[in-house]
Formats: sequence, C-alpha cells, structure tokens
Amino acid sequence: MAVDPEELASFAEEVEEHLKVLEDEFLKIEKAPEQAEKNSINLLFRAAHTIKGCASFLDLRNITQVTHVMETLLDKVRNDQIVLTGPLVDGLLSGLDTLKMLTADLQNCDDEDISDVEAMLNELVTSSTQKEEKVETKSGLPTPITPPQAGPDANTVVGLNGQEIDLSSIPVSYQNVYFLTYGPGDWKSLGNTPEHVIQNLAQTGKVVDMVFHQETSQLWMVFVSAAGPEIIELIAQTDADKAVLFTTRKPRPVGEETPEPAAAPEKSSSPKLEVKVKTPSKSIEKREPKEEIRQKESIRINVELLDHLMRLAGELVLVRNQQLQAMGDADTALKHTVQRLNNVTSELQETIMRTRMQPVGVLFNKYPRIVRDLGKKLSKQIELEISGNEVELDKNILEKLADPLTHLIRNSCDHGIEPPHERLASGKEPVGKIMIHAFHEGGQIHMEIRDNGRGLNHKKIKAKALERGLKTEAELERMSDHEVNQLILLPGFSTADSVSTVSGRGVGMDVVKENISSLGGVLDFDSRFGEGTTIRIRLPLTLAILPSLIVGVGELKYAIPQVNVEELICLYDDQVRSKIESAGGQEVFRLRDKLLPLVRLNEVFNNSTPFGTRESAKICDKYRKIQTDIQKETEKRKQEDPTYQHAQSVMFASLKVGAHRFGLIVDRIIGTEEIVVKPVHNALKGLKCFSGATVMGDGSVALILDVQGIAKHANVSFETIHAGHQEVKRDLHMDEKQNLLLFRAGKSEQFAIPLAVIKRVETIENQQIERVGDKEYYTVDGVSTLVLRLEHLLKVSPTVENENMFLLLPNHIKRPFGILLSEIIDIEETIVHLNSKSHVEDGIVGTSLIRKKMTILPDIYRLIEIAEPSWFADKNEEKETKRPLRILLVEDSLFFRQLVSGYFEASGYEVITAVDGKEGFEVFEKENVDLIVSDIQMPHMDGVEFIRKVRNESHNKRIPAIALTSLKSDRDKDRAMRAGFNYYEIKLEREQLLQTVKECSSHIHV
Amino acid sequence: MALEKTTENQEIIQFCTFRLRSQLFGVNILEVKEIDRLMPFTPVHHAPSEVKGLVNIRGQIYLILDLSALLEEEAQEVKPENRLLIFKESIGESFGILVDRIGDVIDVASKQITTYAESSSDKIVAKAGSFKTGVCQLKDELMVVISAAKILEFVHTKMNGHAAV
Repeated sequence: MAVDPEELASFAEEVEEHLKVLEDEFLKIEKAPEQAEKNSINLLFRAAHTIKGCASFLDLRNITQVTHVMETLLDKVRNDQIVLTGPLVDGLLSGLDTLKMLTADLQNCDDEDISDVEAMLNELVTSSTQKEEKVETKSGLPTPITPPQAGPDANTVVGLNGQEIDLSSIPVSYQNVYFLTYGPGDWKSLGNTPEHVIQNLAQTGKVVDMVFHQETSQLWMVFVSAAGPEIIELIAQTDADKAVLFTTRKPRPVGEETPEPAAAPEKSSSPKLEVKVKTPSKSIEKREPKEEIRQKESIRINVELLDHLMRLAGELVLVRNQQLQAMGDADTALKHTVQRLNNVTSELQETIMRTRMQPVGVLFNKYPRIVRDLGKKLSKQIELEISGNEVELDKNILEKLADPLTHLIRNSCDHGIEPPHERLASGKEPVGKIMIHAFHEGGQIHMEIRDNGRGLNHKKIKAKALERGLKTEAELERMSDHEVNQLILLPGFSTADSVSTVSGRGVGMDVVKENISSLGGVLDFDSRFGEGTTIRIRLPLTLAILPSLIVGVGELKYAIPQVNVEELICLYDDQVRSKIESAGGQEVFRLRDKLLPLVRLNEVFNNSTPFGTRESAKICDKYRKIQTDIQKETEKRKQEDPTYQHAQSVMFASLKVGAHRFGLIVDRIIGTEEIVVKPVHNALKGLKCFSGATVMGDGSVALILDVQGIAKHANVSFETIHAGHQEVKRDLHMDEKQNLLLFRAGKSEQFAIPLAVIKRVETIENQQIERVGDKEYYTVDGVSTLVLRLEHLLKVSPTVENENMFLLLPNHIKRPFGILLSEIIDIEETIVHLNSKSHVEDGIVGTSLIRKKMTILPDIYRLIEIAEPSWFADKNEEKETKRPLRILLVEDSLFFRQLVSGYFEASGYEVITAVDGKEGFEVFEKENVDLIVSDIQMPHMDGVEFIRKVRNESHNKRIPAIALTSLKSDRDKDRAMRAGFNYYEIKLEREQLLQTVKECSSHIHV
Repeated sequence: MALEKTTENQEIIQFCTFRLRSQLFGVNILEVKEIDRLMPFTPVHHAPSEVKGLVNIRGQIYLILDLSALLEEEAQEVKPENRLLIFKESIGESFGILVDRIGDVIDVASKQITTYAESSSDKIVAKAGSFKTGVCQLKDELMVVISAAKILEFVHTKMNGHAAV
C-alpha cells in the first residue's frame, strides 16, 4: 500500500481518540441502554462515520468495512429503528476491539482476517432489521417521507413526498439545499420546539418542504440557503449528518452525490506538529453534559519538544541559582533585577512543568472497560466508581503508574471481590464495589483503591509464606496483623492457586511496590478480613523539581528530599555522649518519647556492602569508645582547669520513610534549596542509596539521597523501634538491666531486690508489730504476716528501729511473710553484674556494685526457707536419689540463670547452662541431660524453636521439658505447649517450679 | 563501525586517539560528542572503581568512567593534561571516559584494522576487556581500537548483573 507512513501515523492517532470516545460511550450506555441519550448515540455514530471516512480515503479496507457495519447499526439506533440492547453493545464492543487491533498495525491491517467479526456484526444488523420490520412503523424513515434528491435541473429538487419542487422563486444566492432531520431526542436535549427551529432557519434561508410526524416527533425539512454547512449546523442546532447538503443549485451532472460535509481530518504538511483547532460545531458539544475529560482548546505537540523545553527550563533554574549565589551583597539595583529574574524563572519553570501534567483520568479511563470485562469473565458483578479524575500528574509518572495500577485493579477484581453468591451468603450486596479516588494532599498525590470484597485472608497468607519458604513458623507467630499484610509484598508471593491469566501471573505485589517506589512514591494498604481492602499510594507531584535539604559529609554535598525531612537536631558537648544511647547494637536517640535509630552517613558511604548487625554494632562501639576517650580526657583536663569543656557537636536530621523514622548524622547542615532532579544514570541504578543527582548553584554535582535506600543499607531495624519500648526492654533484658529496689535494714548495708519479686511494700508502724514467742507478726489486709529481720538470717547489722518502717511483701509465696526494712533508698534501673563469689552465703543471690556501693541481693525464697523450714518440710524428702538429676537450663539472662541454678543446686540437682536455644541444642546433644528447663525469649534461637528442634532432630526426642518464662498469656502458653514443652512455668514462682521439677524427676526415675 | 577485515575497498575511518600511560587507543570519531578539560568530579559511593564520578557540563550531568580502572591498570592521580572524552547520546546515555592524554585525529583505512580475535597477543591487548574490539597497525605503533558502546555495557553488567535494558 503506497500510503505515506506519516499519514498512517496521524490517522492512527486520530482513530485512537475516536475509539476511546466510542468505548467510553458504549460503557455508559450499556448500564442503561434504554435511556441512552440521543447525543450519545450521535456521538457514537459520528465517531464511527469519521473513522470510516478516513479509512476509506487511505484505502484501509478492513477498517472501512468494520466501521461501516458499526455505523449502520448505530444509524439504525439513532433513528430509533432498533433499541440498543446488551448483546448489541457487546457486538459493538467486539467491533471496537477489532478496530483497536487493526489500528495497532496499520501497515498490515488488511492482511488480517476479520471475517468472523464482520459476520457477527452483519448478523446483528440483519436480525435487527428483521425486528424492525416486525415493529410497527412508529419510527423511522420509511413510510412518511422519501429523502429529497436533486431534481432534473438546477432549480428543481425532489421533495419529501417525492414531489417536484420549483426553486426558481428563491433568490439565486441561496445556493445550498439542505435536508434537515430532527428526531424526538433533539427536542428533549435542545429544549426547543419545531416552531422555534423553523423560525431560526427562516432568518437565513427558506424552508421549501417540510413533514412533521406527530407520533414520533420527527421533523424533516428541505431548506435552501446561502449559508455554508457549518453555519447551518449552528443555526439549525443540529449536527453535520442531520443537516445534509445534498445538492446545490449549480448545474451539475445528474446522479452525482455531493459528498457529505462530515468532519474530515485536516491534514497538514508537517505531521510532526499538527495544529488542529476544533471547528465551531464543537461548541455545541460543550453544552452537552459530559463527565469525562473535556477537550479544551488544545494543540497537539510532540513530546520531545516538551522534554526539551523542560530541560531548558531546568538549565535556566540552575543559572538562576548560580546567579543568586554570586549575588551576595551586590548593589540594590542589581538585586532587584535578579529578584525579578528569580520570580520569572520560578513561574516559568512551574508552568512548563504543568505542560507535562495530565489529568489522572487519562489513566483511570481504561478501568471501566477492564473491570467490566473481568466481571464478565469471572462471573462477578463489579461496579467501579472513580473520583478525582481531574487531579493532574506528570506525564512520566502517569505512564509508569499505568502498569502497577492496572495490576492492583485486576487484583481487586480477581482476589478481592467475591462472586455474587458468596457475597449474598455473607450478607453483602451481590454487586461488589471498587472505588478509585485520587486527591491532592500535603504536596503529594494520593490514590486510594478501595474494594468491599473479602479482604486479606491472613491464614492463607501465612500458609503461603510458609509453603514458599519465605518465613518460618516462629517468625509468623510473632507477627502483628499489619506485618502479615506486608507479607504479600515479598517477591515470589502469590496466593493465586493457579497462575491465572488475569493476575497472579507471578508479577506480584513486590513489582508493584518496586514500580511505585521508583517513582518516589509509597504503597501502603489496609485490610479487614471479610470487609475489604484499601490500597493507598502516595506520589510526588513531579519528578523534576524537588525542594531539598542540603547537607555536607566530608567535602561533598548531598541533597535530601524535604518531603522526607521532619526535624533537625543538634547535640552539643556532653550531650553527644549522654544522649546518644545504644540499643540492640544500634545507636539511638530518645526524641521526646520515641526512640530514633541513628545512622551515620559517613559510615554508610565508607561501607559499600549493606550493614549486618555486626557492622552496626561495631560502629556503635567505635563511637562509644570515642566518647569514652573524650570523657576521660575531659576529666583529666578538668583537674587542671575546672572550666574546661570539650566542645563538640553532632547534627542530625530526623528522616521519615513511610511510617518509620530514623536520624541521619551528617557533618554539616548547609541549607535548603530547590533542586533540579536529574535521574541517576542508568548504569548506577543499582545503587540504592541514591535516587538522583543535581547540579548545585556553584556548578558542582551533588547526589540526592534515597532515604529508604540508606535505611536499608544501614540495616536500621524499625521493628525494634516500632514495637516500642517493649523491644528496648527486651534488649535491656539481654544487657541485664534490672529494676531493683534499693533499701536498708541495718545501718551498714545496702540491699537490693528485683522489683519483679516484690508484690508490695507496706508502710508500717513499728509499734504495731506483734510479738508472739520469738516471731513477729504484722497484720496486712487482715492477714497475719510473718515479719523477717534480715539480721536473723544473714550476717548483717541489726535493723534500725524507726517509728515508721516498711514491710516488703514478696510475690509468689506459699504463706504470708514480709521483710522488715528501715529505709527505702530508691529504685534503680541498672545492669546487674552479679558477683557471686565474693560474699558467699546461703540466702544471698550475690552482691553487686550499685551506686558505687556494694549491695547485697538477698534471695527471699531461700531466706524464708531458712527461717521457717517447717513450711517446706515435704520438700526435703527427695534428696536421696541414685544419681542427681541433670537439668539443662537455657536462659539468656545471667541474673536468672544464676538464680534458678541456685534453686536447683540447692535442691540437689545438677545444672548445666546455656545462654540461648542454639547453644542449648549443642549442649544438649553433647551432654547427658534428664530434664530441660528453658526460657522462651532469647536471642538467636528462642525457646519455642529450641524445643521444636529438640523434638524433631535431637537424639533424645522425648525428654521432659519445662518452659520457664515471664510470658503469662494463654496464647504464649499454647504456643509453647504446642511446640513441645510439657510444662509451662512462670518466672520466679519458685515453689511451683521446684514442684514441677520434682514431678518430672519422679517420672524419669520410675 | 567496520572493524573487521573487510573486502570492501578503501573505506577510511577517522579515529580520535588518546593515550593511557604509553599505549595508544582509538575510538571512532563518529562516537565522540566532545572532549573536555578536566573538571571537578563528584565521586559516587558504593560504585566500583571504574566509575570515576559525575561531572556537570553545561547543566547536564555526565557519568565519567575511569579508563585505567576499566583496563585494570593502576590508578594515577589526575593531571591537568587529562581529558574527558564524552560520547554521543546515540551510543549511550550521557557518559564519557577519563584519559591520560589526548592524541590526534587520524585517518585509517579499514583494512588496516584487525579484529581482536585475529591480532597477536600483546601486554595490553591480552588484558581482556570486552570493549577492546581490535588493533590497528599505524606507522610507528599499535593502536588499540575501543568500542564506546561496549564500555558502557561492561560497566552496566558489572553494576547490575545484567546488560542495560
């Protein structure tokens, strides 16, 4: 086909526009075919007609044929010969799809075999024609009139009833003869009456023939006028095809038909830059209510031109920045000029950016069709609601958003919305709804896709994660609901049972998230099982210009997008040492009441591989050491000069990534600047820490930091912080920080008892202590409580007698007793370094240096045993066994390890210890052990995993095991028991524990 | 770029030549966009040593690769006679290489060029870099022919584990 490919290209562009119009209208009409407005049908007809015209001009046979049939159908519809029904719309939509396919490859479109589509459409035509004949001639052209034709000579026309009409009395200037048609739809939408129309027309010409069909409100006219077709359209308030110029009064050869003045595409010589101004007839369309994107006065421009314009604008911004920098303190006149330059540049840049902005509707438009088709395919009823069509986004972003969004919509249709019967069964309406909502907020574009379908099924997700080997069961148990939701973002995840062609292709949510992240956006979602899922996307308005914070590390500058920056914090002098703490091998800062993990940017740069916990810990230690050295140095210096202060400062920015925050320590904070973002070079795309580069005011290149990338690289553990103080406490557990009550009894010693052991401390009056024999009692809550004096049980100084004293009531005891205290010093949170060797005495756990004083930690339970052996009489029978029972105690806290070992050893058992599940297993395999007593919460391998491993893999799978933990909930207990523990004991219920051990031992030795 | 021994008649190719240490290299002049003097780089952390850094040339940011590193030679400090050889956009997105000294533009007949596979081993040639596509015997010395596109591909593969998309 010897058609210019450029012409084909512009034809293709145009056809696509028309096809879009067609599709939109079809879908609208489909919802309520009977109420289809005349204008809609007209629109459809015209579009099809136009395409046909162009296609036949370009000699594209297939397209011409398909559009011809469609046009015929549409014609019948608009003439009220047939009603637009579901099957008809389906057929037309198939025709549409065929057209799309053909248009996609115009060079070869005629090679395609479209016979089946043609046959189908033709079938529709014929069947509807038959219908037409059956229907009473209420409507349509046939009976009332015959279309007018040119007459035998220039001054005669054949009128609507076949009669000859003489035009010679009409002024010769009235050259054009029109055939005007009006149907019932016209009166409705135009708000006009036939009389009105005729009056209008009479002003520009003469009506020579007219037929009005009362029942159908149809009006036909033959109208002669000097005016051209466009004007007649305006005046007649109708469209090109209803105001047909069918002849002129010039002598012309008989039989030739005048071409219809349908809207033909204007072809300009330079297809690259087509200027297409819409004709005045379109102004009529403006009055027609349309929901979709309105085409304002517009110009088609090559995108490359716009890109170039953008680049130039960017360069102008750079030059302006340089100028601003160079300005400094120049004289005022110059300053004014530069100021103006500044303003104009900003506005210019903004406006140019807007040229690339397109309404989101352009993207959302595709979805009604997709949802409809999917609904049919999956036999589900899905309704789509779209709002926020007019929100504008940069073209680039829109393009890149298309795929991920489509995937999400398909997911909603496929996995989200249930089939109607399922919905009814759960009390929902059978029609599922998907709502797409776009809006501006906080300098970003937000998009929400909400469905009222089934929501995320956590059970299924967990099962899938397990199956795919993505998470272990232990990890799954620990997850919060939100975290389970996030599992679907893992690569390789898809709960589609079979990879359907709809979705679940394995393309996956991780790719969607990746795509959105690469646009600088954030993906988040929320789901309620049985109620639905909401997906939220946040995007920057544009990629091009970014307000940012400029920071310095070493000699170089870096930019951090301001959207990520929350606060700037500066620490001075000694605050540097005291305020930067460490938790779990990471430096943290307590910002108000939240813990902010800290990342040192210089360290991130120095290490090209992402950090593991070891690196983080090393860095933590390194800086801690520096501070300790400084402190030592300062103290030395202070001795000579008391006013000496080591001046230092640390600056960091609190950055946010999604819902998480961390602090980034830099050398200098330079300022804020609006920078032009240049995308990072293709070859460097793998560097996660950088999201782009920019040229600074001084001409140097600065890299733009990718906040999320840095967080990942530095292995910032947000979960630690997210779980809040709980996690910190856990680490404290690891570091053995305990809450201790410091008190005195006698005047010399300082004592400490862990708060966990204490039920209450009562203030008592010394006088009210009752003496019975050699024992003392005090009534607490109506209960007679034995009072113990430490000096009776330990080698300590006698208790000081005050008027008011304190009675320490312990937890978990058999019979009520309390310890007499003279003074409560304080509660101390500290790491307990138990020194159990220096002061060995029965009744003491050990000693420790607390507040620079040697402090005795009494073992309350042992003390009461000593004091009242009769209470524990039954216990001591078990001492004689052939071989002492060997217990493996797995416990990460030194304190508890020693405490519990102490109990066991005091009871005559042999104890082997391990600090975590991993070591525990190793020890277990090596040593011969009769009983396992294990903590649950431990690092490296927790108790649950440990016992599971023992039950599955060890040489002695059936060994009795007791869980010893501070976790009290039923859930935790369940979990532990299911994993393989035989017993579940709460920490520090000493009696109970020993009893259980005794039970176990009796089983063993039977 | 005709680097093979062709049976075509005397096709003259112009090469832009440059030196690294003492070895002469050449790249088809049609691949070269411009040659600039040395300007301040911004190093890119976490990038391999082949990436020298980024420079700003008239508002556009270019990726500069270090030819020494590409050829696995020892890096030397930058000297004022170093030049930046920037390649055309058609070859690859805004990138260039840092060379020790720039040489002349020479005309070479296509038949003087032999593809790498055919040439004899030499100290530098033997250090396989896939972007060295051949050698050319000149009057007094050997010129190693380099393909700019292949350089970019090499770096891309190294950084991302796969060739540029």
